[in-house]
Amino acid sequence: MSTCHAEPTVTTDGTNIAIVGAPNTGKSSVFNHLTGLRVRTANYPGVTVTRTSGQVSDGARRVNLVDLPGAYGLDPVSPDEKIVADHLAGRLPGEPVPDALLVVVDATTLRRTLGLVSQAQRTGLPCAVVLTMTDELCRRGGAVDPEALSAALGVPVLVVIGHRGRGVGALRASLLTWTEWASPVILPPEDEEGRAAWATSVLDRARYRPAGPPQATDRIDQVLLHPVWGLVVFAAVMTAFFQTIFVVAAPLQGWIGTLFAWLGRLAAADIDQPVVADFVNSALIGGVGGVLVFLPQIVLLFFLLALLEGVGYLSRAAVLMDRVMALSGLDGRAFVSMLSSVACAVPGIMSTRTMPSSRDRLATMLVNPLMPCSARLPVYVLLVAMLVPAESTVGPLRAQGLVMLALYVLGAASAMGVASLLSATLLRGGGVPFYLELPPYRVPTLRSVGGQVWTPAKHFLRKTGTIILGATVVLWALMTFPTRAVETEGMDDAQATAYVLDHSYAADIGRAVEPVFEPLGFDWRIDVGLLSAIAAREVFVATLGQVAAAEDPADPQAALEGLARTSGQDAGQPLFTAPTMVALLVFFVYALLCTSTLATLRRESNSWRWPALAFVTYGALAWVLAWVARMITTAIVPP
Amino acid sequence: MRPEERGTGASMTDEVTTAVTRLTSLRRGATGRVAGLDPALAPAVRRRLADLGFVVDAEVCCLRRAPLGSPTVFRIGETDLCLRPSLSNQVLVVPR
Repeated sequence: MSTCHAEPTVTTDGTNIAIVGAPNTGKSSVFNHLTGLRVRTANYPGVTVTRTSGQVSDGARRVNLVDLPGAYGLDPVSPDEKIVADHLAGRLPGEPVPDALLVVVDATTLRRTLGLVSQAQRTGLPCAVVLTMTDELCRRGGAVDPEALSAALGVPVLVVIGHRGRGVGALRASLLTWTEWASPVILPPEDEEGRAAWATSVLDRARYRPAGPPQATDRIDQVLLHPVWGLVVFAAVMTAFFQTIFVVAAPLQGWIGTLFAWLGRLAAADIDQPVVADFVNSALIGGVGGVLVFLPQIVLLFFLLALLEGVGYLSRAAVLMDRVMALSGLDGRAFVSMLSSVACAVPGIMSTRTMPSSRDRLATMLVNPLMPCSARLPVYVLLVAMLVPAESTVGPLRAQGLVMLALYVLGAASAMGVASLLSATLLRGGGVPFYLELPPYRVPTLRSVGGQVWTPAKHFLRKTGTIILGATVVLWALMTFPTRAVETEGMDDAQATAYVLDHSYAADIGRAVEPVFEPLGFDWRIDVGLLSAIAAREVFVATLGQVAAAEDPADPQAALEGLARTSGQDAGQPLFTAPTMVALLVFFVYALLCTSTLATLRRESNSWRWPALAFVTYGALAWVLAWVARMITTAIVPP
Repeated sequence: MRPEERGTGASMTDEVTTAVTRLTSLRRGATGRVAGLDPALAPAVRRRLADLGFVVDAEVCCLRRAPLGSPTVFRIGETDLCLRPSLSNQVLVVPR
């Protein structure tokens, strides 16, 4: 779940009930069922965690329900869990102590999760238990009597079968009458031995028969965690994952780009005032189109990730990759985080909250921006199309595809390399030993997968809609003003636009920065593009489009190929030569240009030091490696 | 479980058949009962292991080792858990 800017705190008037539960217990599913679509996500004021809350109502009565992060216990080990503990104790500023607690408990791991129930009861708040996965319990030969369990615990126990939504009505009714919940006569003991004895007596009274081993899961894991077959399947899953980017998402992106270009021309044709027409065409519609062009890829990637996680495969992937990650001082969980960053680094960085050790969190957070994210894709697509002829092949594979793959591999390998370096220098030692729960394989509900796609997609849209649109408008203004009406009188349209651009504010800024990037072969126009990419990388393509006065700013390839340098010793020579394009590509692989990523790094690491360090270091690295790439290309490729 | 067997790594001289050992040494498919956690373990990690089911007398089984070496998948009670050797080395078990 992600949001890049703080939203007003959700109202806490009325009753506030919090849901707690261990990960993998179906807690989010229960929350979604109870609140439906009436969910709001906000940042805890002053703290870094996203808080999801919604309203439960039957028309007459209403309570606010807060979904707390998954926690194995109320004694915190990871930052996520600290939030839960702080929220329940009322230590979070602006967050009242909840009026009651809903504890979600997985019936197949009941003995273990009774520990959480006892801790919840010891908080003194009114509690009710939601028992999930009872169908799975029965399927595996286990049994439990919910009423007897309720009598043994002294609190209400409600059974909910997640994917069918059965029992939700009764749960909602009980939730709305929370003041009538029974409470235990004596609290469970606090010490480990006493708790174990208490748990045994509760389970006996509830006539609990534990589930047999998950046979289907065991059989599947024989393959998926097999030394050979496991890795084969893993490679296949990863290939399919990345194929969706190139084969499925890229064409979709192309269509959306074309659609918006058409809309832009349509709007421009209808508007008389040329400045306004240009504004609507390039800035507004081009800007919005620039955002929406990303949507298919982001949605698809989030969908695949949600599916893999819901099924339970991602934890297996983390296990398979743990050894490899350990080489760089990271662990298996970091792999999942970095995989999410292929969609967008913001949720990838935020997913490090589940890591118990702050050292591991920091190491993973700092290398996530090197993973090739969706925003880099249009830049790669444009430059690779200009660099490599479409028809050329290497054996049976298209050369363009191979270059794209190489760019992705470069990003990922660099991330591992930097992680190794960090582990050997700044972030040496410390860390909590790796452990990970492997839940049984389950069929995820469409609802839960949908929720995990819709929420980040919505936030992505909102964030990029504001930042990208804003950046595009500002850039448009910088490139269109001053209008130079006097000097351009008598010139034809194309010449006039070029003149205005050459003497605009953007040109002033670009020329000021030009010396920095000159050794890389970039001229001021590319520099303006790079500066615009700081708002969001996607804007780079749109900016280049405007710079090249392209007919269709979203597809500026033809116009860019024709661009020539306007000054310096190479005046008149084409701007986009092979060495320049290679340098630009390498620059984009490394440079941390995205303000949203920087903002997220700041929030998650609680200081400006790390994002500043990352920005400067990756920027310098990008410059140096781009220069090296340029030298190599100049030596290899005949001019 | 005798008090002397809990929480210590020493094996009793007259209890060769119930010698306490480390979880890491459980072979694939072998089971054992948890005898305790190494006292040198950080408190946060102890708590977490306890929350995950590593309590005295719980049954633990070594399911499989991951490809490429570590980590190892154990079944502790009703939960399947993956641990690196550095962590499983801190868990004391009495093998069957």
